[in-house]
Amino acid sequence: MDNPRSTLLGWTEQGHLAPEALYPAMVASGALPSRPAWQRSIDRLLLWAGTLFLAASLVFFLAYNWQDLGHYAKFALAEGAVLLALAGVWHQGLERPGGKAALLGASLALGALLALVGQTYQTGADTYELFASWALMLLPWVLLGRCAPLWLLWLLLVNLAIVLYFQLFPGRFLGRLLGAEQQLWLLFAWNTLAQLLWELAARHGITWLQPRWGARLLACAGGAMITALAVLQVTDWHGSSVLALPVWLLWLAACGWIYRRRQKDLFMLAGGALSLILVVSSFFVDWLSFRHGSGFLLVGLLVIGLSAAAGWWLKRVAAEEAP
Amino acid sequence: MSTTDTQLWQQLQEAGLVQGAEPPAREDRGYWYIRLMQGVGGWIGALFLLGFVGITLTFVIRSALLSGLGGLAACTVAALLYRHQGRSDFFCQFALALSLAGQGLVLVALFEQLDHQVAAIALSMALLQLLLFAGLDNFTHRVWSAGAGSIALIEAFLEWRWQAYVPGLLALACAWIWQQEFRLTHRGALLRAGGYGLSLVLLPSAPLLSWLTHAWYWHGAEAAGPWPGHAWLGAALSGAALLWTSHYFLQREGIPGRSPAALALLALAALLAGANLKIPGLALALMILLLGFGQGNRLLAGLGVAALLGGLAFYYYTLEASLLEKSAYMAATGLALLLGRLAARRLAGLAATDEEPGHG
Repeated sequence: MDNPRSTLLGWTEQGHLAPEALYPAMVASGALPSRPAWQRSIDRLLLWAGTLFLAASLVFFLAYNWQDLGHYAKFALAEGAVLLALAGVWHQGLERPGGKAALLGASLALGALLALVGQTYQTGADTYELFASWALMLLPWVLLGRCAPLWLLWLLLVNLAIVLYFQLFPGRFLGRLLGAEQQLWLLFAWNTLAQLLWELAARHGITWLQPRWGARLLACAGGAMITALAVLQVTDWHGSSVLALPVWLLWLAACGWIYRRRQKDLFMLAGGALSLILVVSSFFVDWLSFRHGSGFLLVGLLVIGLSAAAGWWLKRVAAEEAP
Repeated sequence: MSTTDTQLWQQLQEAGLVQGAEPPAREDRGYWYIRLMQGVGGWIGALFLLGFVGITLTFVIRSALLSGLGGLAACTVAALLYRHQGRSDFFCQFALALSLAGQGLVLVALFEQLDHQVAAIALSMALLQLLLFAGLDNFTHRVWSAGAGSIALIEAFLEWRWQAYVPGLLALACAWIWQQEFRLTHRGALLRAGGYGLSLVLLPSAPLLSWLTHAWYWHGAEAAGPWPGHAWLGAALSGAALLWTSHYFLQREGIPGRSPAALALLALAALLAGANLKIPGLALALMILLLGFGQGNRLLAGLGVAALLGGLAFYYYTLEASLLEKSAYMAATGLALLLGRLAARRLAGLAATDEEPGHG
């Protein structure tokens, strides 16, 4: 559903709404926040920002590795922070914003505690193991919390664990089949699966997953990975996988069908269009000769034409009624 | 017109704000992600056009006069295309790429002519962007011009070692622009383009400039600026922008300036403005978040949230203080926010209920 703000601004520019009537129209339509909305939002901002700053301060403190403070004191601080946050969750309850913010604080403090364990005992564990353990231990809280930001934090931790794993062990995971970009494949699969499950859950009535920003963030992550894989294949990068282009085409077709026919989302379609522009341009960049400059002109005009066509198509889609 | 637009028109008719038949459906609803996609396409196209000029018309690149004239000619053609073919997606995209390529040529000319006098080059580019902002009638291009012009000014201030003032000055300009959005409605599109361009440059500028300043110092170069107080004054400017924005919304919402609610909220804003001295970029991110929310602009509010989170992550790596000191600043700020919330609940009547609207 369109934000009335953009509609009202458009009507004012076209002269259908008098300039002096713009602000009252914004208020009347709910485009601007009401007094209760202001109160609620400032309350939430102070709550979430305060929690985030406190949790981050713990992380910073433990990362400093202050030698003057003994191990017991540091562990007491980290564990105390986790317990205090969990006490906050228990006191506020998971249904209230205070409880959810306390759970976020506990989640971040847990990560700080795990880092402290690794720092103190020098277990020889690799960094990816820290994030993997953190994600594993956090999962029950995330399931109970029913909070979209917490889920995104968890997904971010898994992504970080994957990235750090492949920094240590490149080429170990299904190396022959997937080529040298196993990391990109795994990130693509993980984020796309998360996006799919997120959308299904939202569609089946889980209201706290229904705001679009979560699914869109995951789509950006997955889309960036598969676009990179497709570009690597079309430019014939050494060791690139032969599966990239077919999977990319499948992904593009699926995005186009789902977000055009099933659940209209222009953001997703615009992302798909950008991916198409990048891959097609990469193909021509690889294919044409650039010795005489005409190749540059051709590719330049191609990119301009594709982006113009994509913009024209997206505006046509936007003008249609939602299915 | 869509169902929601019809309902909106009826609602405004009932409120006596509009009369007559419903307007026809709008073609271009100005979705930011469509503009972003087209902007990226324009940029890539511009790079290839520049490559074409560089290889085919090498004599142009080698001559400062020819590149400058060629660049200005390209920008002029772009302006004409926007004016006469502004409804065509292809010509708008071509104009964008042409203008960007033209600006690149002008930059090459300036470098050759001014012999690496960076401040002069930067000021010249800032002037060019100002002219393009005024002359090229296209929203996406204006966002680019506002942003690129701001970057050019930042570069000039860096050369003069006055970079500490840049975030605060940009913040004040940004705050003014967004506050005028519903007053200067005949210039609304212009203001919004300028606001977005400034906001996009403003948000990373404070933490980046702070890091850069201390990187210089760390590497033994002369201290940033002739007087250490510059950093404090600059941070104070950013804090002033946050306070001004807070005051604007309190006035707009009709909350008396001396009421407990207003004093509580302004005190909180002042506290965060103070924290900005030690956590660069905090006041700016909060200001943008506040402006976005208050103007009903979800994109701007989202940028503020992203800046807050990104700034926190970047703060970990900055060099102006040790992790221990930074931890102390963060803890103090976090406590102040939570205590401020408690105080505001009592004095300003914040959120009597914890129920989220539509919470399931």
